[in-house]
Amino acid sequence: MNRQKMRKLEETFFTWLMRFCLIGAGAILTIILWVIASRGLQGLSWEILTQPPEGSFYLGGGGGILNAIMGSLYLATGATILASFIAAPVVLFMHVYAPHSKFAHGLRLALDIMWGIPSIVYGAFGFAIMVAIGLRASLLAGILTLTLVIIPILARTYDEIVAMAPRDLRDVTLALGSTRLEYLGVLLRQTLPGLLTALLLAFGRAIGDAAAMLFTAGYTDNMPDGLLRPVASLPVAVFFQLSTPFPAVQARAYASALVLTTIILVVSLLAQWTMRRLGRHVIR
Amino acid sequence: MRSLSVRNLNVWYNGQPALKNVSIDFPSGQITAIIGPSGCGKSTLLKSLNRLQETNDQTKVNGQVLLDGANIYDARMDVTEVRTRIGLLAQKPFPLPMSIYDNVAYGPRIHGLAKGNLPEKVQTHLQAVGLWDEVQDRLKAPAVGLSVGQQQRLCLARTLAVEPEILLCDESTASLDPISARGVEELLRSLRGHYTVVMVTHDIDQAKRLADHVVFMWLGELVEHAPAAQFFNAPSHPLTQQYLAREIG
Ligand SMILES: Nc1ncnc2c1ncn2[C@@H]1O[C@H](COP(=O)(O)OP(=O)(O)OP(=O)(O)O)[C@@H](O)[C@H]1O
Ligand SMILES: [Mg+2]
Repeated sequence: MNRQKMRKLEETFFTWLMRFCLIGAGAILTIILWVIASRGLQGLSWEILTQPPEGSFYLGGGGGILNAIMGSLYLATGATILASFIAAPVVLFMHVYAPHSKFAHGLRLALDIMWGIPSIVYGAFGFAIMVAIGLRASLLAGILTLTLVIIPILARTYDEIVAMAPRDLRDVTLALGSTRLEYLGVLLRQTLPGLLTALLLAFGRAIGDAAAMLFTAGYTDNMPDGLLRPVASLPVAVFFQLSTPFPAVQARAYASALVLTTIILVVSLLAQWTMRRLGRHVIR
Repeated sequence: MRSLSVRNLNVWYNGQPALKNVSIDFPSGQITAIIGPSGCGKSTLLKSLNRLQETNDQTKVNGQVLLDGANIYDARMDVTEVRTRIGLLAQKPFPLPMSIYDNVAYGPRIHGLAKGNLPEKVQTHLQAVGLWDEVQDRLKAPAVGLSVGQQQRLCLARTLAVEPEILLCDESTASLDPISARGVEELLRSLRGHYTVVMVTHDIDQAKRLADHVVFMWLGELVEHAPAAQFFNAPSHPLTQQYLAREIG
C-alpha cells in the first residue's frame, strides 16, 4: 500500500475512533440526566420547592426540601468564598514570589494528595476537631470542612491556569517599574476568567458532597437559622430519602437530585456569561 | 542628562555565555544603535541594562552597569526604581490585559505621576506615537484588539508614560509598516537631546538614519563601537567591514 493511502486510512480510523468515544461519553451523560430528570419530575412539585419538610415527610407526608436547598446554597457558597480567599493568594504568591521553588513544589504535592483524600475522612477530621473545641454539628462546621475539601481543587486548578499566563507578561509589567505585588495584580486580571472556572469546579464539588456533611453540618428539618445551628443539605437529603422503603419518598430523592443538578447548571451558565465579559482583556 | 556605562558585563544562560566581558559608555542625550547578527546577544545586553535579565532564573549576570556612576546591580539599589528610570521597550509588542487607555495610564498610576491630569497625559503619549487618531473613540476597548503594529506603538506610549530618563528599544520598528516605522523613527529622533536612547536594530539603513553612535556585536562580544559617520565610512574591524558589506550575519 502506498503512503498516501496509508495516511488516509489512518485519518479515517482515528476520526471514527474519536467519534465513537464522543458518542459513548454523550450517551452515558444523557442516560444519567434522563434518569434524574424523568424520575425527578414525577416527585417535583411547587410544594416541594417552597416548603421545609413536615413531620411525616419521610413517610410520604407533606412539605418539601427548601431547608436542604437553602442549606446547600449556604454551605457551598460559604465554602467557595472562604476557600477562594485562601487558595487564590497562595497560588498567586507561589507564582510571583517563589516560582520553581522547593516550597512551590512541595505545596503542589501536598495539594495533590489532599485532592485524593475521600471527603468522609475530611468529615471525620472535622468532627474530631469539633469535639475537641466543643462545637456542635452546624453550618459553620460544615462550611469549614467543605472549605478543606475544595481548597486542593481550587488551588491546583487555578495553579495550572496561572502557569499558562504568558511569561512576557511578567517582563513587560516589571519593565514598567512595577513591584512584584503590582505584577501580582496584573496577573490576577489576566487569570480572572480562569479563576472563575476554578471557583465553579469547586462550587460544584462542594454542593454535591454528602459524606463530609453527615457529621459536620448534621441535618435538620428546619430552615437554616444560624451559623452555629445544624443545617440540611441536598446530598444528605437525597441519601435519607433514598434510604426509606417508600417509592413516593424515593421519587423525591430524584427530585432533590434534579434540583441540585439545576443549581449547578444555572451557576455554570452564570459563570460562562461572566467569563465572557471578564475575558475581553485577556492576552492570548 | 543621565549617563549610562557598562563595565565588564558577562551574562550566562544555563552556564552558556551570552555576553562576554562587554564594556561601553553610552553617550548622554544621544542615540546609540546596537547592530549584529541574530543571537549575538543584543536583547540580552539591553535587558541587562535595566535588570530585567534577572527575571529569567536560568541566567547569571556579572559585572557593572553604571547609571550616573552608581552601579544598578548594587545591593542598595532599588530594582523598581532602576526599571522606572531606564525604560525598556521589548522586542515583541505585548499589551497588558486591560483597555487601551489603562495600558498607557498604568505607569503614571503606579508611580503617582498623574496629578489629576491623567486623561491629558494618556492623550499626549498616544499622540506622540501617532496612535491617538486611530484609537480615540475606543479607548475603553481591550488593547489585545489592536493590530500588531498598533500594539507596538501602544507599548512605546506606555513606556514613555513612565517618564524614564533612559530609553532602551529592542527592534521597535521591526513589526511596523513603513509609515508607522517612520513615525516611530521621528519620535526617537525628537527624543534626541532629552533622552539617552539605546536601540537595537537589524536594519543597517535605520541605524544610518538615526544613530549618533553604533555598536557592533558578534557572538556575545562587543566588536566595534564608534560614532556613526566613522563606523559606516571607515569601520576598523574586519568583522564589521564584512557585516556592513553583508558578507556575514
Ligand atoms: N531564555 C533563554 N534561555 C537560554 N538561552 C537564551 C535565552 N535567551 C537568549 N538565549 C541565547 O542567548 C544568545 C543571545 O540571545 P539574544 O536574544 O540576546 O540575541 P539577539 O542578538 O537579541 O538576537 P535577535 O536579533 O534574534 O533578537 C542566543 O544564543 C540565545 O540562544
Ligand atoms: Mg533580540
